[in-house]
Amino acid sequence: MITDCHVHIGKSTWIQIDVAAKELIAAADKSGIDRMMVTDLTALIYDIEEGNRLIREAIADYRDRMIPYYTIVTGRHGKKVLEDFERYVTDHGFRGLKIYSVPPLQLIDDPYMIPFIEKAAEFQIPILAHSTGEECESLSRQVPECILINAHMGCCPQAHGDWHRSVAAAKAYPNIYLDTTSSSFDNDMIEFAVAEVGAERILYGSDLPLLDPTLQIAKVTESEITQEQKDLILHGNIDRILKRRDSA
Amino acid sequence: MILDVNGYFGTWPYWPMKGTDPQSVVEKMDRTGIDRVFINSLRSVFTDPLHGNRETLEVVETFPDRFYPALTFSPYSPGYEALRSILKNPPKCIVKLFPLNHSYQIHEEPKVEEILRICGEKKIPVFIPYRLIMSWRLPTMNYGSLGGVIGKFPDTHFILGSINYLFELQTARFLLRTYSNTSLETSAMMAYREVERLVDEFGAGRFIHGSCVPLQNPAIGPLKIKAAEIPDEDKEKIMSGNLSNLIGTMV
Repeated sequence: MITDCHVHIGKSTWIQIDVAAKELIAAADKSGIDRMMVTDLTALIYDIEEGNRLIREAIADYRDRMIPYYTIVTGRHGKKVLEDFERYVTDHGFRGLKIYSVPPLQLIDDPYMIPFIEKAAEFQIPILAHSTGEECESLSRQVPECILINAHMGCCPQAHGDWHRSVAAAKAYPNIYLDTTSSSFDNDMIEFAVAEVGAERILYGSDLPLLDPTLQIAKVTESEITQEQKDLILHGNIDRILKRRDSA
Repeated sequence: MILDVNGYFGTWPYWPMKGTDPQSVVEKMDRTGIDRVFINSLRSVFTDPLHGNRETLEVVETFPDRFYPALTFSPYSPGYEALRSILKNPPKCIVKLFPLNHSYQIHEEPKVEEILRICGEKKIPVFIPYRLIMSWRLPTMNYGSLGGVIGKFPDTHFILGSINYLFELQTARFLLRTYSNTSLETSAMMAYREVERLVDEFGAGRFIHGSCVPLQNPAIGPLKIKAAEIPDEDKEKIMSGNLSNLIGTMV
């Protein structure tokens, strides 16, 4: 059983992606992924309202396999988008919030982002934060009850690839989880994270269709941790988090 | 048969890393089915190419069935004459250049040109890593300056290493398209279906397996070739055939 916490759909010229739901399902089938949490690229880099509408339509036939994030590139559009976010969670079954740090233009712990973080915390849905460990710490201080997934566990250019720093953030704040997807396959990375924060705080992600999910799964399965720990990372932890909305 | 053009041993300075001694590298190779690695002392990258090359040759002597030497030099450190001397009658080896770690521009150095000329004569492949390992916290090389050098030494075979995706891959694709004396090493190639796209564009003959053992998880290198939807004969070329052919032509 595998639940992928980090998948993209839609179009982006920047990362040279144009992918539909059907293609993601085919890729997931090939790699053995059962469910995917999906975020829309148009919402992430161009138009929040259009992108979130697109993903709702695109995955309508695949709701048993695809769980949508509501995606925002900035909190600065304010109340209108906040209300849209609320509607997508309550009326359309969106089960996460995706946010993206664009330094130095805007950081995700921008004050305008806080109402969205508070709303996600109120809904008890996870926030996938493409950001630095420091930004996750800042959000955790401001909204301690939020459920934060530090995308790529620091292995992205914005966070300078510093997974040690992200692990330290997760160690300091129990609401911070670490998403394993990235181009980095450093020796001992997963083992170190498990030793420092426990397997219960680590989530498998692929970054499909940018990165190869087969390799990202192997990052977990080929690490020197127990099968029980691998199962938690591959699906147990995110499945547990997703149930919090149901019991909220 | 799995050959690996990109391996190291020694101390990793940036964070604690287990299993970087030669014996542990062999154990990782055994676990992941890698038969033989071109291995390179990290000392030669960070502090002392002369002593590092000696270490490399000693390690190859200790494990002659598992390692081939990857030798390096810096125009600004001791070791240039010693490397020239080794290359007069070279073992099966590659030469690896680290302009980022040795602080020089590859197209500005007469000693680098001399080594590239010798490598062309002796048919010794030259590996130039774009980055040391696929980590966003390490610097990357300016590959834009490579084209002129590659074009100037048409008899030398250049292996472009540790390239991932998007901008950096576009530059590598340009170099592959423009210069037939180039190959691309696979250790940092992580994008979805990239192996398939590149083989379709250039043919499997232009790619060489690398894992970056022990700095990266060595299971991933072979897996990305095995899992790719390409013919088995193409996989064999990437895993070992292409590199065997290059080494087989050494004089």
